[in-house]
Amino acid sequence: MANNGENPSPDVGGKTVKLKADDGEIFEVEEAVAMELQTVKSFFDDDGVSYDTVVPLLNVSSTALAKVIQYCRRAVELRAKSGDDEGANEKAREEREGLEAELVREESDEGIKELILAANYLNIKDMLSFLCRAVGDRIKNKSVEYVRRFFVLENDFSPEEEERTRNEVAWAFEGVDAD
Amino acid sequence: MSEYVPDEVVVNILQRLPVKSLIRFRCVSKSWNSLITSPAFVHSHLNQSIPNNNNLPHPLLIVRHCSSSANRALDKEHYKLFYDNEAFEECAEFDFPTKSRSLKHFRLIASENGLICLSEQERYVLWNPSIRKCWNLPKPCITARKHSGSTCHEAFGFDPRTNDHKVVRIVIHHSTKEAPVEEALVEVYSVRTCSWRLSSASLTPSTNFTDWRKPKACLKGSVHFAALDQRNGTGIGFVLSFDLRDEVFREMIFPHNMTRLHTDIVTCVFSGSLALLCYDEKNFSCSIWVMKEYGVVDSWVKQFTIDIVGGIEKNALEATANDPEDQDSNSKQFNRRSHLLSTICQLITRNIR
Repeated sequence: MANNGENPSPDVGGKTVKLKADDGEIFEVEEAVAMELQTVKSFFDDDGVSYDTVVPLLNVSSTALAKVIQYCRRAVELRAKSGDDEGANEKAREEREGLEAELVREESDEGIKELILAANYLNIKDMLSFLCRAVGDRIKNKSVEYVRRFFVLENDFSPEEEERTRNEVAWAFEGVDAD
Repeated sequence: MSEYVPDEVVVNILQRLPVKSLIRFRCVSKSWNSLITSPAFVHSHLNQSIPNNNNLPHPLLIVRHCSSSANRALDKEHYKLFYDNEAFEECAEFDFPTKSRSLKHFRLIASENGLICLSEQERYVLWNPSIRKCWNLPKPCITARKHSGSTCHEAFGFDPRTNDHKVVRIVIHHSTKEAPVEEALVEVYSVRTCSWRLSSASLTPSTNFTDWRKPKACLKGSVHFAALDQRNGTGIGFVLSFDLRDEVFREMIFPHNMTRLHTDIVTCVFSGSLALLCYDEKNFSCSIWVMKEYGVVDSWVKQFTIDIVGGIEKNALEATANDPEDQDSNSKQFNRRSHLLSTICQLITRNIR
């Protein structure tokens, strides 16, 4: 297959690309959608790599990959809709925000972390951005212990050091959500 | 199985958090404490939050109001956060962490990047309300002579080139019998070095500043004073800028067609440009001239004239903006400004006995 480097528009039934998740499951995706994943794009930017090659995504679970693909597919469609028209742009932006909210709404902390790690590994800038924003919103009123659990961090302060820092910034502990 | 989140993703998340959360999360671990307090992170968090404003619906404005009464114990400085919109609702009040000793209130020098600089004679205080830290600066080098022997002109600004906040102090020793020669001395305090240093910059001691005890605009790493030129007797005014990094004075003449009936001319920053707030006491009006192109005298434009019913107390021009101006259309800004000025009038007139 020739590597023509062009992205077909989504509504033209163009080429597809095969992505393999960590459990071996294969996802066949439209080329335009696959190129949203910069990691995949770089994979094919190398000379001599044909579009038939299955892209191994060893660090991404099939659940996460399915959601990523679903998001990118909708994102590509929405981008095609917007253009010079203010109204259409505004509508597309609202739809995209709705899409993002829906993606994170039902997700557990583990699920959202899995998505962030996937978006980071696959290098999808917009998706990583809104996911980080969503996580930020989740943790901003949470306790220190909650954050440690979420990010799997050990408390390496000595009891005295921790007490001293806490006292220094006691005002920041007001109004924190109960765990 | 819980997975470990890479550092760059953690930073991405933390940069979007409000300051209060970040301060609390200093207690998560030693590495988070170092990260959150590192100058690089602070700098990038500040730059991130200016456009997004932490997802708040409206920019915020800090309004300072000093109440005073016959009973000194009741004197209070109020710092309140308001939503900068048509409704102009109060959002929060800060606890002012210190108290002036000899004067009724501190004098506001200026605020920049969330740092507020206050002074009381030769005592200078820096206060960052978002992280609730307040500290006294060391004593300055130049001691002003008491009893009308000296006049002090101060400015506070931020230089993005050196990533440093600075306090500038111009002390003019007037001529006396003992010391007949008038002299002007300049010293600069750098937050980075935590010290005052005499500057070799020089200026004419007889410079007639029009903005004594008013905040000075800080733009492009320079603080801007306003003065009248006595040399030719024409009384043409000019902006005297002091470059915080190079410590050099430069002049920019006022608009050619500006009338000279102003009692107070103060520099400020308006939508990212240098501007002059000119208060005309006789006619109770305030005009705002904007220098559309920095450094180009021909680019001064008289943007607004605001009628202020009832007049403004001299200190009304001390309103500080917590966030840089947004890119709204001029008329919206005009409404906001006049609303702000009138609100300040109300705040001040409420306290006039």
